[in-house]
Amino acid sequence: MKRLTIALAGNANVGKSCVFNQLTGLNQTIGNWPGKTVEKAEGTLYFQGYRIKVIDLPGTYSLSAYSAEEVVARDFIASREADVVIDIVDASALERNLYLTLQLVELETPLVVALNQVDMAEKKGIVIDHEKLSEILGVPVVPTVAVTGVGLKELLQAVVDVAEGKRPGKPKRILYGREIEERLRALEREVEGLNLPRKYPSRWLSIKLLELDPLVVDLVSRVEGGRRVVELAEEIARELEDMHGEPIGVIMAAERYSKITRMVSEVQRIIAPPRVKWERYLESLTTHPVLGYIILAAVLAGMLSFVFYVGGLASASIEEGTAPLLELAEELLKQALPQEVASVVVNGALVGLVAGLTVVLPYIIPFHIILSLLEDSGYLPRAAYLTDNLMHKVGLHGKALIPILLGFGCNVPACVGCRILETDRERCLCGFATVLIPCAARTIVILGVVGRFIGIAAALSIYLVDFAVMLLITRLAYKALPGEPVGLIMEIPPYRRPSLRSLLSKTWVRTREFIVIAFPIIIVASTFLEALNSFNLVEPVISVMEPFTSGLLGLPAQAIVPLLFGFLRKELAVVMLADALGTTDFSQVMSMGQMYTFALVVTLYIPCVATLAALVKEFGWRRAITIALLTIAVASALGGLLHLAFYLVGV
Amino acid sequence: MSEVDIVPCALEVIVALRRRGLTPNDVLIAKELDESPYKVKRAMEEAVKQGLVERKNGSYEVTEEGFKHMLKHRELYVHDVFFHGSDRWSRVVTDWGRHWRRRHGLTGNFLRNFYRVLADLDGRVEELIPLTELKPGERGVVVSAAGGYGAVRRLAEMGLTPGIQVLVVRKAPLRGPIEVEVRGTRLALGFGLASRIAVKRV
Repeated sequence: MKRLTIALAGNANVGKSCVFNQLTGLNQTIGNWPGKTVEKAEGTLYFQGYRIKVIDLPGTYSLSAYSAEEVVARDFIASREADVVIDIVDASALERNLYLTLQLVELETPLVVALNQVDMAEKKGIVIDHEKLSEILGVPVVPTVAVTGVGLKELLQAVVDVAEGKRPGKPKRILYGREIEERLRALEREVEGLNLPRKYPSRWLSIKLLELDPLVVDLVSRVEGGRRVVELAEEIARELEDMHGEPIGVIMAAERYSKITRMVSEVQRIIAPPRVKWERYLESLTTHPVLGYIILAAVLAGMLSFVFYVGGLASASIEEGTAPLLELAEELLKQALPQEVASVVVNGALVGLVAGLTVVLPYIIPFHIILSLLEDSGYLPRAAYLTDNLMHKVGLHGKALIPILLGFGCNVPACVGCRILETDRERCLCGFATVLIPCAARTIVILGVVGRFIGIAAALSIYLVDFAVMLLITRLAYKALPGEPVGLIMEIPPYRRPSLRSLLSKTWVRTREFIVIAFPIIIVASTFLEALNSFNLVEPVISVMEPFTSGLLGLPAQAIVPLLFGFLRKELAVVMLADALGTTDFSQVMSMGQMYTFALVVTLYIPCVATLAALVKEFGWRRAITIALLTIAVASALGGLLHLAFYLVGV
Repeated sequence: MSEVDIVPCALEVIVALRRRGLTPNDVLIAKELDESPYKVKRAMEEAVKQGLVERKNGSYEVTEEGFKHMLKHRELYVHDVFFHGSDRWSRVVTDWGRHWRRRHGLTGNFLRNFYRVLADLDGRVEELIPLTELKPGERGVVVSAAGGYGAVRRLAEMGLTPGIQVLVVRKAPLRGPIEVEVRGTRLALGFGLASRIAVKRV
């Protein structure tokens, strides 16, 4: 069977993921690009005897080197792995969308333009002459409505035609103004003389050099004679900057836009400007300075209660439903295996599996449904618009509100929710913040130990300490993470009806990916802890860890057991503490200071295993381990300080 | 306006009128500034004495010294309005290069462009206002944006290039983001970022 690889490029909010879902259905996998926290979606489809691999590139507005997404997208296109690139363009915002198209043209890649959402454009009174646009760009332009699937067959036909060479797919060169074009030519002659990788078109390299794109400058200055060409580019850039008084990046952007404005005036006609009424009402209601916040609060409350009410019910019934099965399994295994091994398998591996199920199925699935709904309808940018001010105070972005709030219920969906943020930097910052949000399980520990035996004020003070640590770590990360913190620049797309198909397939694919990564981690950790228990290794662990538990933190030596099991599920720490100490009245055996220290350490140290698994999935092993170690260090340090303070005061 | 304040504004008007090919005399300047011709005449006499302008046949020409004076005035205005929210901090600054670098983090390269924009400005500097000063429903033309290179470039890539007209759609309360329409799309811009975008009201 003949094979083809195509890549989908386009701005955010143009219905790109919708096109992807329509094309590939459930035949897709989501992972990360190697070494990046940028989502990579891949799928396959069969068309006219071709097996077509579809790669969904991250949604970007440009192809400069300023965010991980843009670098991923342009590297992939430049690598020529894709036979054809489909550029998905929002017909109702043609001018802004063509900016990316022009950069794809600069990359000289075989191209097909999908003029998407032509129905929305028509509603706005915009008519586009797609044949004319095709003539100007020199590549096929196909009008589509991805939500309903209109035009997708023609789109694939155009792709196959271009791949087979039946239709021209190589874009026409776009000439910029004389002032820039002459300088580009001079630079290009120099670039052609260098020994650079052939995959990059020399004109594109010259444009990027002129823009002083850091990655291309680096690439060129490493080859022989490259340094001189870079210096020439810098000189030309400076010359242009002196003429215009703007940074070179702005000059080039303005140059591209002036080309685009001319193109648009040729192909676009605006007949009548009316917007649909219900959209306008919804628009002003949801961004109203008073009502907007009330609606936002209602949406968030609704989301939290839906996720956790539905989740709670399902979680309880899964636990109840599986309990007899677990008992049965234990009975059966005991006959086949020695007592200890059977116990490890059942209480370790199987209980771990059930624990995973009780987190994943009830919480993750409803969460993904709601999240997709918020994303696809266009409400998310409005929520970010309303809260950006507040979130900026803690160094985060308006959209980070959603994961942060979810974190109060459970850190796992919160971590997964960080993906709604645009840049790698912001996702990471938000991830750091979410794992320290006091989730429901931590609340059980804080209230069950400190609230019950010391008082509510002390319990609240733990929350305050937790928030302080969260702010501190976020601040540190804000300074340490690479990239310039840029203020909010966010598109506000019009409201639209979400498509059920896209919603369901998004939910299913994302849930499946989570299961694949998280379950092995949870099961291994659970088995390991249970093995300690059944092979009587608990005593040695207690004595090995005594300097830490009693020496540093001033806790009873047995308290290491609940601390270890707390890693599995934080609320287990309370049960295991009672177990280890032989009483549920902790005030009998622990001082107030000890109880306070215990609760604080449980709150801060290492995110629970499911959260850790989510961190690995979203941010990779290195950052997940960094977060884990950092939180352990902070928890031990604060615990030790508390111990010292309580010792000095004599509590 | 006091007579001291009139001088730099009059310099701007003279430069602008000359660019339009007109001959700036007392009456014309007074009309542009919306001040009494008498006051303007007194201010101009002072300016001539300081060597900022030359008077020939009743019309004025800005001297090199005067042009420098005007640039300083523009720099002070931009500094006060765009970088300190119209507080008059500039009175205590002595070393401006150092102040821009240390206090506002502007690099040498940016400053060079910045002075270029100031010198080439068409019209009075007072016409430049932060985007955040526009009310919902008002339109403005972008003149330039100040800020980190990444932010300025990003704005340009999203369509906010010099010379483009923007419509303010709405503003979030308490110095929240501002929503604008530009090139047929809606953008939300953070308050800090938007307050550094210089526009002319249309």
